[in-house]
Amino acid sequence: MITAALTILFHGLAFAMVLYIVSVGLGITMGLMNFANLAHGAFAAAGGYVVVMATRSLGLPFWVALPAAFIVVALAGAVIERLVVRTLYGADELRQVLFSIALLFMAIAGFTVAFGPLQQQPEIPAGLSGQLALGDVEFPSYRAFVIVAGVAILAALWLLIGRTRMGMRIRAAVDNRNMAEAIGVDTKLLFTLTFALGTGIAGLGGGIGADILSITPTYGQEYLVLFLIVVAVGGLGSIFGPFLAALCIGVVDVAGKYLIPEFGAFFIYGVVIAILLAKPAGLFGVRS
Amino acid sequence: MPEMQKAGLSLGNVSAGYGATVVLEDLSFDLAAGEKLSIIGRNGVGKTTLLATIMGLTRLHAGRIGLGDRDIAALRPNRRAQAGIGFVPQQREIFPSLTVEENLLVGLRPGAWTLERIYELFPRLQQRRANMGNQLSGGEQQMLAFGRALLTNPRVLLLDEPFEGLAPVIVEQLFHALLRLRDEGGLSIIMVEQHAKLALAFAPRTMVMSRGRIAFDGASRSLIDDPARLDALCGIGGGGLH
Repeated sequence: MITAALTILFHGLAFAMVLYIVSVGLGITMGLMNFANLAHGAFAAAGGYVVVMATRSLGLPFWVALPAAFIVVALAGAVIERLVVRTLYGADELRQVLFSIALLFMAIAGFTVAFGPLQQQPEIPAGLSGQLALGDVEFPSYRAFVIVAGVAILAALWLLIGRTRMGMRIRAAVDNRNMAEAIGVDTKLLFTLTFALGTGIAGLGGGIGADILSITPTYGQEYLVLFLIVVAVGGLGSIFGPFLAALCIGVVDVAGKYLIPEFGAFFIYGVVIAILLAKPAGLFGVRS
Repeated sequence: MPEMQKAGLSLGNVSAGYGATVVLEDLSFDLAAGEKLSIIGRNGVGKTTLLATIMGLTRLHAGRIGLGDRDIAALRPNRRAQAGIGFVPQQREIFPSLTVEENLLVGLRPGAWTLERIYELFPRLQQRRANMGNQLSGGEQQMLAFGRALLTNPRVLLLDEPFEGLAPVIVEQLFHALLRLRDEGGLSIIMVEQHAKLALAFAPRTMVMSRGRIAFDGASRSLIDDPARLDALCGIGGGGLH
């Protein structure tokens, strides 16, 4: 019984951390820019492919590939924000959804041509490929690393958003964009930086979580609902909300599938409905 | 006049509004460096739109807006703020996700106004420095909006109905703080205000607006001494003074 509980908790936490790392940037950009970016998962997939290519084709160390995934995807996000996304701020939601869906499907086609339709796995360092013993129970070391990485990213984002001038400006612009402009905040530059940050973290999440959410061309489409759930339940523009939401969803999903597999994903959607009925703006939503 | 334009704010033949709707029509005036100006008028005559236009928050259909010798009409609001326009909006627009101190520091630019000076002007803000922006009373929010604008170290401060909805005792406190700002000189101030008595007492120069145009621009004293004229201009003269 205790072994089962520990196993559920451990794997649920690892799954939750991947959901969090990928989704948190989506929540920030949606909260700040009011932009419904349904292509967010494609940026995570791109990060996954960067890690796969860097470790498998270029033979680079995993610890070099991860920051590379962040940088490459963040730069791509900045370029796309400047060229296209910027024109859609303030546009009606249908246009935003159609644009981001189009971007998602273009990314799927591009990934299929470039990397083939099959799932890809990055080369994991030897130190993380073993097992970690906790009493009589053994857990994969890599998943322990995923949990630590998720908490580290939460802490880094908390410091950035809560303790720096840039974070202060992001929060101000989320609250009231016009007023932020009126005190001298360059919200256009802030939007580009934030979009780049959000997509870069998604890319990092795609790379770190490739062991749990496998990298395929359809990654962005397959897991989109999960990312949107984390953001909707956690609340737009929040750092902690999506973390708690990801914890709930990750652990409940793993527990449901482990204990009553015939119900599949029934439990996470039940939890989502219950939370959104009680708190329509999400757990920590700045904006619904 | 050329010297005044170099140092202060000037509007030339400004027409502006929201989208295709024109609220301000062919409006021109100059404000010298350090000069104080009150703007009064009935509701809906374009007073708030005028301040929003100077700040860059409306659509400018025609005209020139100069700050010193620089034309700022094409600049975005953040560039106008950086150029020296400070704004205290009618609804205060405090950032609820930021603490009081963060609200003050978020737009901070180097200059004579420092956090210490703001806390000295409004000691209440120092007591509440760790509270979130949405945990303040109306008067505290107004102090915070003043402080936030002053810490951008502006050359021209725009105040949009700063006393609206506040208790008389708070109005008195804030008015004294404003008088202190006025008497320190240096800063140009435009105050839009419904309380005609306060507006006329604050600035030696008053402008009365009517239907998006300037109906009167002259000495406040002349309106104080002639309530019938004030009443004729905006219906708030004589016994109607707040």
